Amino acid sequence: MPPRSIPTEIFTLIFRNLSLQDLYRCLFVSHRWHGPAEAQLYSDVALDALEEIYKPLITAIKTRRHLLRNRILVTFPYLKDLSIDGWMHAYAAAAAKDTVTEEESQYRLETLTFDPRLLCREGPDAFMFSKRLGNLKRIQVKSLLSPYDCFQKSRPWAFGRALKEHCSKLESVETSGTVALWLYDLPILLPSQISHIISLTGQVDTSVQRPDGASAEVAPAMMTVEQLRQRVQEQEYKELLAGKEAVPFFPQLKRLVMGVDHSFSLQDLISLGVQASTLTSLEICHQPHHSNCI
Amino acid sequence: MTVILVSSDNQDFKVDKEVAERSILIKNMLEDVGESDSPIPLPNVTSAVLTKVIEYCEHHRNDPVQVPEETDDPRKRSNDIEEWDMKFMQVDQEMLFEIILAANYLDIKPLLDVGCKTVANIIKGKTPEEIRKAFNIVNDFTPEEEAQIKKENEWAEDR
Repeated sequence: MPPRSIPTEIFTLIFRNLSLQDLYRCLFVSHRWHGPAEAQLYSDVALDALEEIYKPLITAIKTRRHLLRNRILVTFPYLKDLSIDGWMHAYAAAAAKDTVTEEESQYRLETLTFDPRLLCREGPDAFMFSKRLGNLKRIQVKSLLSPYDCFQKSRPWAFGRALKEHCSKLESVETSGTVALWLYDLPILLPSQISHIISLTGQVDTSVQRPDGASAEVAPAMMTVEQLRQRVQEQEYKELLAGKEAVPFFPQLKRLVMGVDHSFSLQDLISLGVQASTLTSLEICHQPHHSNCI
Repeated sequence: MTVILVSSDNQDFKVDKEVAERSILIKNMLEDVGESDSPIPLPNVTSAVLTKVIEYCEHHRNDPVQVPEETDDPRKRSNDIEEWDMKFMQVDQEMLFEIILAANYLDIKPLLDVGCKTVANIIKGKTPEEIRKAFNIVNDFTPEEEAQIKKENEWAEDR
């Protein structure tokens, strides 16, 4: 009996017994064999990702420049979980131009764990790959960067906007380390939503411009840091209550975890759509990076 | 107690209930029907194949029920086919696949497993061309498609 009449589930059972090398060869046998062999090859990669397969894969990424961010996903179309440690800047910069078009199918990737330095790449096509991340449900950001570097090097807005545009299924955002400055800028605030920043900036400016000012009009500028902070919190609280007009950033967001050194403010929560009824889990580290954060 | 199995070509096979119940399909059927001596028709299995399947079930009648080994790496136990099973599987390729399909239909997991491992052992270590030859498959890829597959899966090539 020619194996072409064998149903796919039997192919899967047969291919389960094969090594990666054998599976690789099976890809070339015929169209009928290709699909099940490919599925098995890549399910192995996903399942064993943390063990034997993961190390060689990472080695492959380090040694072969074409296996980069977007290439990883092109190469492993069945991948559901992807965790990338460390800085891939050097490789990212050398990456081939991404030619993803909107018509192309979506990756199956559901979880992406990364260091914000992954996003250091410059250029208008830097986040093209996010167009195909429509199935992404969860991002975990782990950073060892200083807030300054994080802000300077990780191009927060572009990636934030790309996520907003393409990842409508995002359910969970988890951060640890000083990634907040990256995520902090995720929400694209309407000017009317940042009135407390505008007003307080005005007050601070006044105090700077008139350090000797003793007149009654500049009284707010004489507030102590403590008062100023309190004022910010009051203002933010008011805006949180009035946050109905805020545009939910990720409409499906259910879980938000902010680890050590986060610099989220209430405003960011508003903009992330926290007032939406979808959010069911919220974890906030008690040691924010900035003292005026929640 | 015995049950009567009827193959697709209308041959009757009288087997011990214990043997027939190596097939989960038959076991469930018998449980659903209850005490009954009416023959069980197996329209998907020919007498030649059913003979082989019964031979297997007779030999393994006293085996403990297989526990699922989800966590086991199948690749690590791919060669551990028992000697008797190995000999049992020394049949022509058509019969080999017929046995696999019957084991799948009758839901006899250990037999299905052994059959699939036997096929896997034929595939192991062979080049695509050798695999095609072994299974009488025609290469329906264009050179361009082959190049594309090679490019996409390069990482797995030397592993």
